[in-house]
Amino acid sequence: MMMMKFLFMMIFMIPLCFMKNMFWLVQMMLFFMMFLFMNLNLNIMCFFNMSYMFYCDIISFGLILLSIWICSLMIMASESLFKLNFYFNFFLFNVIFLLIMLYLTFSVLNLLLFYFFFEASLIPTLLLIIGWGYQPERIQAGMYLLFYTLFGSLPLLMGIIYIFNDLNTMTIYFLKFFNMNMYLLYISMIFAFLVKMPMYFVHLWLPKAHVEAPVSGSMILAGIMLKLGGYGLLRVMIFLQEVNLKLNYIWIIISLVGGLFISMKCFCQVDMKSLIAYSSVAHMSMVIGGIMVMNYWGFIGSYILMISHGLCSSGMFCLANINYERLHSRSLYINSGMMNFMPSMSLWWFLLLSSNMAAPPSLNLLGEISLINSLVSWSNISMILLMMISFFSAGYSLYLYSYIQHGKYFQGLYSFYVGSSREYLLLFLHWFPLNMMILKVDFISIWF
Amino acid sequence: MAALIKLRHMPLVQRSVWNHFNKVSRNISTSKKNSDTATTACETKTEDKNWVSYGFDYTSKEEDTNAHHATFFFSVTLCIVFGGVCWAYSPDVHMRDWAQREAFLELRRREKAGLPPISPNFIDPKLIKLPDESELCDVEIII
Repeated sequence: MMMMKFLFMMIFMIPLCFMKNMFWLVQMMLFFMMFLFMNLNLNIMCFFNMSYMFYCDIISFGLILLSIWICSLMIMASESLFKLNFYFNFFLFNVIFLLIMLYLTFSVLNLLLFYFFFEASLIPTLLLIIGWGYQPERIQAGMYLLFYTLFGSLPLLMGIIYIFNDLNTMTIYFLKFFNMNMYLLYISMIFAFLVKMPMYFVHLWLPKAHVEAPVSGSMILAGIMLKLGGYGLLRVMIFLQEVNLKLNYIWIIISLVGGLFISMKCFCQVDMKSLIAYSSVAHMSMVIGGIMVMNYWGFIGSYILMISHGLCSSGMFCLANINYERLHSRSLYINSGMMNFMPSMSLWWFLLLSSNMAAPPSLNLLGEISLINSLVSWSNISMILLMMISFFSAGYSLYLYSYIQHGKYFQGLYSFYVGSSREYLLLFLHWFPLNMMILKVDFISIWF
Repeated sequence: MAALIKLRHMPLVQRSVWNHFNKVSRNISTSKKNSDTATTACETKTEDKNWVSYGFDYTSKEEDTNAHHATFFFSVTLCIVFGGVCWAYSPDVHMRDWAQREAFLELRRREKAGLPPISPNFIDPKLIKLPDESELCDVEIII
């Protein structure tokens, strides 16, 4: 009943998107839905809200909250579409449709339905990138996004159908009683999620898609779409534990070493959004490592890092867009010395970038500590890789901050608006859960 | 009686009386009167001249202010303040804190009594049915 309530609230917001002057109302309805969802579902320690095809457990709950929050912030960030009257009705419909797909992905009981909505959430994302992106490269970016994900997910579909053939059930809750001991099934099931996360060798779609997407597309990609992979891995690991214990070293090594290379590559980026996108890959590499080691702290650390990275990266993309709206360039050379013009914005750059590098008291810190603990307990040698990844992530976050804020400003600037109240609210709403949720983490960290 | 029938001319009578009185009390004076209406061009209120938008709507101040108030209410007041209070102060969800307290009390009791934290026969050994050695020879040992 509870899940249907929110599903219908979202479905009936669709006609609201097409009415006149409803842009801010849709955003406010999404905030209201977030408030209701957050406070009506406080019994999150077990599976709850079980119904015919819906359920909620702690992972679903946190990720649905994150999706609703990021979707409402997406609308707040895209005010320029409303001002320029650029098909904002269809944009709102896209956002609500994407939110429905994500909500259903996280809340259905059936593995095949999960797959269906997992793939269906790609369509509005593709439309967002191609419809409202800024550069002509967005067509290639859309193709990369689509085909990388579809390439990974066809084996997943075959695996799901095989599971149904074998077990005669698709209910996610019942899969924990089974143990599928087949290597081919294992690789086919997890490959889609590794592409989505993304792991190092299949990560190429991410810098393209994140950079070419409009701010709302970047926010939802960094905020939630990457976590679909993590959520899928967490669900699918339940019945693949035995094979995973034999093969997990492959994925952990690829993702950790790849995360190291990607962190080093961040220092070479000229494009702000590209730097933030590569830093997403580095963070997600640690998340993959945490899930693959299969200990409790690994799961907890990866889940916390997923939530905190969603908020942090999404906030950084908002900041990059705030700069882009004024200077029409994402280049680091042009965006330097911003502290001279928007000193209040440098507060938000600092807060979000310090969270990105897992400085206390952010939630990223807790996630990284748990992940470091779990990965080091799996193997002492991963200490070296983790040390380098954490060090370089601090390095490129500081590099980005000091390049953008300090130094001489670009002489070609004329004049622009300092920073409207809406933009500060947008960044505050990203930062506040990030730094305040650490005060009561047991809502997202303790699973039993 | 005749006056009653003539009542339909009453508006005409009223109008002629009014005109008469106006003509009689006509005068010309150049001093400022209270009854003069202001005829200067209407000024916009000074607060509307250079208003700074909150960022929600750059054309209409009223819509901008409405959107600003509503957005801050729904996001900050509702979600962050009320939601945060509910999260932070919700009573012991699923009795987790109670369970931890009970566990610590039990551990302290057992420590004082010299018992191990948990007895090796927590489940009665007679109820556990282990498989035979013959069934176990193929199973891989994973540590």
